[in-house]
Amino acid sequence: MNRNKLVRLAERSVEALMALDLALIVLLVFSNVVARYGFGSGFAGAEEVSRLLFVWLVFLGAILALRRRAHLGVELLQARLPRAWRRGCAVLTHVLMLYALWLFLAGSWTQTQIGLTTYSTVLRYPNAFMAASGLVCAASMLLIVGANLLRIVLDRPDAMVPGDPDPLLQPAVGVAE
Amino acid sequence: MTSIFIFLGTLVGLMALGMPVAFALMLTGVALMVQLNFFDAQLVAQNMIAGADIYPLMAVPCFILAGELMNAGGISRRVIALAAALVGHIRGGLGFVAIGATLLLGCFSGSAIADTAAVATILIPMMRDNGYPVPRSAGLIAAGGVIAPIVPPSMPFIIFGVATNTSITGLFVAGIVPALLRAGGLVAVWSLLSRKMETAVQPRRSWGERGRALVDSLWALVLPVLIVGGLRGGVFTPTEASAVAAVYALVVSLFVYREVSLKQLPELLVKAARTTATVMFLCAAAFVSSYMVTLADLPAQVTDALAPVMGHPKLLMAAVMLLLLAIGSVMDLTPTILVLGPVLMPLVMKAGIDPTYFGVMFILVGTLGLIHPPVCTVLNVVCGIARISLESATRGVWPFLLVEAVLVFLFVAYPEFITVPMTWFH
Amino acid sequence: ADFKPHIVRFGYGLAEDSNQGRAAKFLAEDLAKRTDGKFRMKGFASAALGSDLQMQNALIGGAQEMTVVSTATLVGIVDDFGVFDLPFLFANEKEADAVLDGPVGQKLMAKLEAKGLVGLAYWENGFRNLTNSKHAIAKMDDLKGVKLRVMQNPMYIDMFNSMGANAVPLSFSELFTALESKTVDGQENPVNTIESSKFYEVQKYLSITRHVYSPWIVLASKKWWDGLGADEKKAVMASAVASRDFERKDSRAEGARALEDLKKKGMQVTVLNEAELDKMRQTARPATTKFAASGHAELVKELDAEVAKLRK
Ligand code: NA
Ligand code: NA
Repeated sequence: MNRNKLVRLAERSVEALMALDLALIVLLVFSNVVARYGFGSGFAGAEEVSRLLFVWLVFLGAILALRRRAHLGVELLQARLPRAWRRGCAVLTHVLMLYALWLFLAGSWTQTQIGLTTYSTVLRYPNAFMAASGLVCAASMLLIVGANLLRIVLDRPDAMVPGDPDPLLQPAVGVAE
Repeated sequence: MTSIFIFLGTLVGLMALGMPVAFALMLTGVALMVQLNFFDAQLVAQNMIAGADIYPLMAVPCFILAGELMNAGGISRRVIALAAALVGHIRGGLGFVAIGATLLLGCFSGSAIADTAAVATILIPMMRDNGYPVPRSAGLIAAGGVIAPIVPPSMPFIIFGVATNTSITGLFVAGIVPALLRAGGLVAVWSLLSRKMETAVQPRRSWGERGRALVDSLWALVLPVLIVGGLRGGVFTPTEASAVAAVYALVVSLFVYREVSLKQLPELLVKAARTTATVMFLCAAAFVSSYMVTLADLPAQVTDALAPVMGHPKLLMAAVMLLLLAIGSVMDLTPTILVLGPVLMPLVMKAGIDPTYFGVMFILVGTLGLIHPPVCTVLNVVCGIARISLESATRGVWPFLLVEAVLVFLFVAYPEFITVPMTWFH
Repeated sequence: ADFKPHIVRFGYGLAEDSNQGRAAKFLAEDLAKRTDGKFRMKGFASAALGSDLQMQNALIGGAQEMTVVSTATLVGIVDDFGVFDLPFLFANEKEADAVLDGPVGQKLMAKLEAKGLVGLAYWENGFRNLTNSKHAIAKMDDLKGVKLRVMQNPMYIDMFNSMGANAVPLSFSELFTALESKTVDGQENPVNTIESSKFYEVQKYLSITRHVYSPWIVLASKKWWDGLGADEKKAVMASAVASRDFERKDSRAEGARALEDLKKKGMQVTVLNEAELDKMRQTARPATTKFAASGHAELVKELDAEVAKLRK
């Protein structure tokens, strides 16, 4: 299998997970209403589970969004700069983003370790389940941003540079406003 | 004051360099950590996760999913058909159809973009064929689309409520009247403009046809009543209301209209999940910066800087509205809410301004940013659908933008337009 | 004594003008006095440093020095702390103080060290009472059919369901709105919270049940604590104990004042008689049996013995 195929497969699997995740969230929140009226009570763990699912949904989805350049940014100024300047800015922002992600990764690592021996209040799952979402997100994003930085430095045509006219760019349709 | 400069300098500087807002927010938090001698990578990770772990924000994916289902399941189309059956025959009628449709659809969806896309896809080809000028029509639909976040349900209200600790139900209820006034403003401007248009007049529909259109869209019309009634009547919380809306939309599309099959469901779920992740990642990153903003006591510093106008609430509101209008021209609404909501809320409360009124005003002026260039996601959506340039869409939208802005400043001068109706619902 | 300069970040959940805030201020001043101004403690009110759980983890990781949290938060790391969620454990403040400051309370605190936390002192959140908007609750039967919001804690759900209420787990962030719109009829919290969260605006009836005693616990980061000298540790400990005495006195005075204020605000207050309370105690007893059976038999026995000694 070549690399592109592998990446697509990974993306497809993450998407499938996200779809399942969201379906479960809707069901859990909805069943809370039903439980209150149908049975006059509720399931104590419902909120805890749905919150855990939600955090994973966010951080998994954010990885995909980074690959598709869907995170909101202001590229107005960049679009007006000469090409060389635009690349220079991109290198700088990528290095800074790598630093931010490194902090996110290191912090998540500590939190995951703490979370191995601390447990959630209702269901008693290890808090590491929650903190690991940050670990996965930060690590994947480091790879994506690092690879793109490399492409920019090597001046490869598939490099994503803010301000470049990009036929592959997904319009920010669907943003919740 | 140093903290304010570090905050603004880092955030604006990084965004100008083309960095995605979420990362700029994280690094702004880091810069403040360094300044306050409070540096620790754990604080970045902890706040990122805490920023995504907010129960009330689970309403975001649920309402987005509900909106996706309504567009895919033919609910939106039927609502537009109803509007066309009712007012399509008047002179310039398709414009009124557009206003009515955006207002009605706004009652089901919390997203201006989804609404605008649904209405524009159906109405712009119709308006073009009937001799309506396309840029003006596109501008009207965009200006109508930004009504959606003002009437419940509303994504920006949910995010604002969470970011500033304001009652989401309160904001939902308080948004209804200003949304109607916004629609009224558009009707007034469109009636003036459409007089000079050479447009084909649609045949008047019989009462039978109207009745059928009404019955056909009845399932859709029940939903807003269900949501607002359920919230006010205490049947569910705003978070639960979103899940109810999603399940309702699913049931109607699957079993009543049967325009969505179970096979399409995963695709819709992925779409909603993707959108959610983009919004929520921003929220997570904003938690890093707002955590440090609180520690640096930034709101108090802003209050000090604005001391001269603190005694004049209306002047203060006017200044804040102008500031938000300026920021809205280059920044999207969600980051604006997340960054400025927590900074400005303590300030306006200190000045004695009602937090719910302020929330409604914040979103009213913030949504204008979605339709005024250069950064204007909603206007971009209609440009894409109408296949016109941003320049011509800008020429099309300005009269509507102007009336919506005038209304905002009318509400600054007379807050009673918002505060009095607020009390009717209690 | 040997004191080096330290900056101590002390985070807490309630507002600066709450009983928690006043005690935090006292603690900061007392610690400065004892250390010749070398320990500069900065209080961060209103969860500015994050939720109780977030602060707990920041302490373990060494990103923050001190905090005060609900003991319920600690159940995730030392599940013995679940004992303070048991119904009708203490009859009055005197019993609570004696047990918490005595060997049982200290033994529980000691278990935190292995998890990276140092327990310093117990403050008081208070005895929890019931409010609702339906009707006055003077006896257990009155609870029948009342939709009562409880914490997301199976013990509370079982307890109130067994008493005939419909226990609805709901997050605190949605509670006020839920009470206002009557999604739920009632809730249970100490009177201080009922007053400060303005529940009196949407709840007419207050029943003094004192069904659970909720303590707070002052914690230090073990990573930070281990770096302190002997004199420094002694001073921090002494200040924590002084703040405890101050806080309990202040909270109790505040509780009495809050109760008067709630009456003035129009709440109708019902005090349950001993016979009805006894009925509730018997009904809620299985919660304790269940907790003991889940590996806490020793702890429950010790605690019961301690309380029995006091009641003699
Ligand atoms: Na809406
Ligand atoms: Na704009």
